[in-house]
Amino acid sequence: MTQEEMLAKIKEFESSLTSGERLKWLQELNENIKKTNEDVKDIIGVLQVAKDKRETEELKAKMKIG
Amino acid sequence: MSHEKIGWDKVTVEGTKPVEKSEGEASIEAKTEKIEREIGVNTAMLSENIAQLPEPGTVSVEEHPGLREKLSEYKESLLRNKEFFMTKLGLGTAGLVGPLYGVIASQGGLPNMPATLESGIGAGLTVATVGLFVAGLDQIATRINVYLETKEHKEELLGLRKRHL
Repeated sequence: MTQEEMLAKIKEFESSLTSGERLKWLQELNENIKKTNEDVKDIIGVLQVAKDKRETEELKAKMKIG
Repeated sequence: MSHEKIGWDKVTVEGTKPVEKSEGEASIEAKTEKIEREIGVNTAMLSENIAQLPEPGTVSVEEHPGLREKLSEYKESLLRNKEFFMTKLGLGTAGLVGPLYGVIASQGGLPNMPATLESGIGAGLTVATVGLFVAGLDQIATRINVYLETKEHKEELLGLRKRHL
């Protein structure tokens, strides 16, 4: 699918909706974006813990060498 | 004889009523405007969150029990979500990331996207938002892949490939 075809498809989808359907679609999209934001924050949290542990271990190792 | 300019709001045609929006229509319009603004803010927030993901190489999944499984779960969920939106829009699911970035660029490009969304551009909003959102999902899943790609993991993949040859 080319970029133009994709753009046309998305616009076609949007224009096929009534105002009520469009509202419902935007609400669904918004909820999904909010949920994804929560997931990304969780991922960052999990990775940050792992990163901190690694940095602590590296610092400990350096101090032992010192 | 003087001619007073009459504005459109004063023009009435006998036997017809001025076109007014019903309460229901006005309510839908107000709710849509509100949700469009929210989507703008939340999508901008998603871009900011993606930018905060740690740099590849600063985290080792092997050193932390359960981290690989947890990241894999998130990745699967993101990809399911991406598929859902692509299918809903009738775009299919394979090989679309390239054109998708093109679509985003044609709508003003990634850097201007939050501003574009904030202004609520009607029909273009879905194009811009879905483009940015789906590309965001893809970006996070790709980054997770990098975190997961350890020496052991690569060997495992090579092993799988050998078995298939």
